[in-house]
Amino acid sequence: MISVKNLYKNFGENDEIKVLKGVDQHIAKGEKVVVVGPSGSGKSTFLRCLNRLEEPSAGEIYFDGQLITDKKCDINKLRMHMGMVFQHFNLFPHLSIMENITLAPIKLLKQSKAEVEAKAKELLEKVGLPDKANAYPAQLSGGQKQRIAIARALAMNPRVMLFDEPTSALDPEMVGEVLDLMKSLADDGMTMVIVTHEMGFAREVANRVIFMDEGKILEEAPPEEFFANPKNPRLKDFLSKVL
Amino acid sequence: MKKKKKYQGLLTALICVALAVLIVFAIYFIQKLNNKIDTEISIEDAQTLIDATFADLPGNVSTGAKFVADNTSVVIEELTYGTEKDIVLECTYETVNIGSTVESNLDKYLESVYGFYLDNTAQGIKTNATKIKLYIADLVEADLAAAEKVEGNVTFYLYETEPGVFTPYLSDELVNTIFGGILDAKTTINSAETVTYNGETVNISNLNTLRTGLGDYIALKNYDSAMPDTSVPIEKLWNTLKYDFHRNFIKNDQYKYLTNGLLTTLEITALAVLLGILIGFVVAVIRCVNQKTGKLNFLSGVCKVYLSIMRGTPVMVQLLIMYFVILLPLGVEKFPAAVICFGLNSGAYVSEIVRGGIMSIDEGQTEAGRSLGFSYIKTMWYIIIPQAFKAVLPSLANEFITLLKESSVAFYIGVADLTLGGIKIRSITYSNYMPLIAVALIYLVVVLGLSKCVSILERRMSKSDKR
Repeated sequence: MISVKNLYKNFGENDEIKVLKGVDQHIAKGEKVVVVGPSGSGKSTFLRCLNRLEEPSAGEIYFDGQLITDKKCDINKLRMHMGMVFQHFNLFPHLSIMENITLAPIKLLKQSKAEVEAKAKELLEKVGLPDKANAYPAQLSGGQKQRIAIARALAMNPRVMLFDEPTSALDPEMVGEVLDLMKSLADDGMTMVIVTHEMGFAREVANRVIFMDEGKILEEAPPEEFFANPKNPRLKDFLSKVL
Repeated sequence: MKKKKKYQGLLTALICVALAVLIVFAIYFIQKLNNKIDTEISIEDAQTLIDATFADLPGNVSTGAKFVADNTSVVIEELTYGTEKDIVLECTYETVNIGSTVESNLDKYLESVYGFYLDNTAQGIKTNATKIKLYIADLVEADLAAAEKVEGNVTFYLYETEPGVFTPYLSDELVNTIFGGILDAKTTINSAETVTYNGETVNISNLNTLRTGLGDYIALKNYDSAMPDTSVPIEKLWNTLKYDFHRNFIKNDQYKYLTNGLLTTLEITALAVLLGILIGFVVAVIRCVNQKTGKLNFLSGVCKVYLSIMRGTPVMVQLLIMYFVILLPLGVEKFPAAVICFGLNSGAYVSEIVRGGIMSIDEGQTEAGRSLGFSYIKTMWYIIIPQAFKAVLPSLANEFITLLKESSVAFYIGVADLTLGGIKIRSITYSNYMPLIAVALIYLVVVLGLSKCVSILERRMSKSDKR
């Protein structure tokens, strides 16, 4: 579904900060891929390159066979099929929960308001917040906000969901509710790419775990093997610290 | 707690207005205690007043001699209002040179009067001053009638002693000028010590009757050289205030200059602010897009030039140029010209406010919008600008209030706004205090009211921030 070939990303005026140094990856439909790694390893940048929130410096990314790193590609159209969930939720504070969820389908997919709102109610049911439709983001807890952010992304019927450290900004007791939702989403067969520090979640949900460090993928394996039998010394070191 | 706060805000506004009113009334009363009432008077009324004053100044009571009124005419050429609001009358006069006529014939009069005195004494009749006055009248009046008339210019002052009541101030100097040295002549008579009678010099220093009789004849009745008292007694201040209010605002419906003016001011400001917000948002978005994506270089350059011009020149100069140089030749009316000028000017300031507002919105909002598939412009429109608008609403409202006050320069191109309304009343009544203070008070009340509305609006819009 998503193919990444030789992806490079540099920051700074003279590209002096090299964040991604040649990443190759193939993510199949229905796969749940968890990306782990120390801070500054480039895992968030990698994820953000997938929907071009960060412009890749070099390399190719294909989404459903379409070259999305091409300048001629209509990235806005492609993003409609790629849901993204952020660390800081980024809900729209001036809109109610219902409006947060329905804004994009109404304005971009040109669906009727009634249709979208019916779907939004289903989604609110799914994320366990059916009574919050008329609330505003500031009235919700962190965990509730993140669940709404997931519902907002799902409202566009994405083919893939990208999660950028979805639980890192949450109080510990709220992490569970978000992970539970993500698990149920995984059970529904959604293709997911998740950057996270939740190793337990990775072990339970992922088809494949990727370890990144210093802009490169150093190891990738199914979770059982990844956690039980790490080969790369950097990964061994990393796991010894986080587990 | 919340209710109390609300109440406090209202109270503060009320106290502000009350204090302002109190201060301006205090100024009014203090001015009135020491100063003049500022009524206008027509040139005809002033002329009537001067004529009456002169008619009231006959040369003598007992004889009824009216040589002043008969031989002197004073015609008002021009009426103006002095800095202290004294009414200044520029007059020409024509008069018989009474003083010098009397002085040059004084020896003749004294000799004749002395002869009359001797005759009376010989007949055993007592000579008193009245008899002398009656005796000399014909002689003097014949001389005055034969005397040559002189002309000249003189300046009179009218002082207002009560609302609408005027008193001319006839100083000694003025009287001497107009009445041909009449006061000097009287002094000369009073100090005469000798008389030549039949070629002999006779001492008359102990004959007071002769001198007083002659001197009294050319005295001026009802003449008081003291300056009229123009201060208003404290118990009459309220009436004076009512009178001033009436003649400034009620008379001829002059208050309409202010109400219509206020309407025009509000219209100009509202339209200009709408234009300003429109321009401001467009400019701000262009500059933000340019800053973030490097696109729209040319438009951004145009915006920068516009901003430097609008913020680098006074709004008054912009108004004059906009109307007289640019729009008047195109046949545009004053009102739309003012709206366009203030709108363009305000747009420059609004754009900076809005740019700050857009910059203050978290980058994550843009990312969230873009990740859903919104283009940069759509993200701006649906997500960033609504939030930025809310963030800058207080500043925009302040801009509106600033513009409301700034629009007062519109009177320079003749837009009949509130300020011009006050100026018009001022030019009708020659009164400074009432119209100008009224204009200031109206601005103050409107501005305070608007500030209150803004805080209410802010509270309403902060609904989404409530926890």
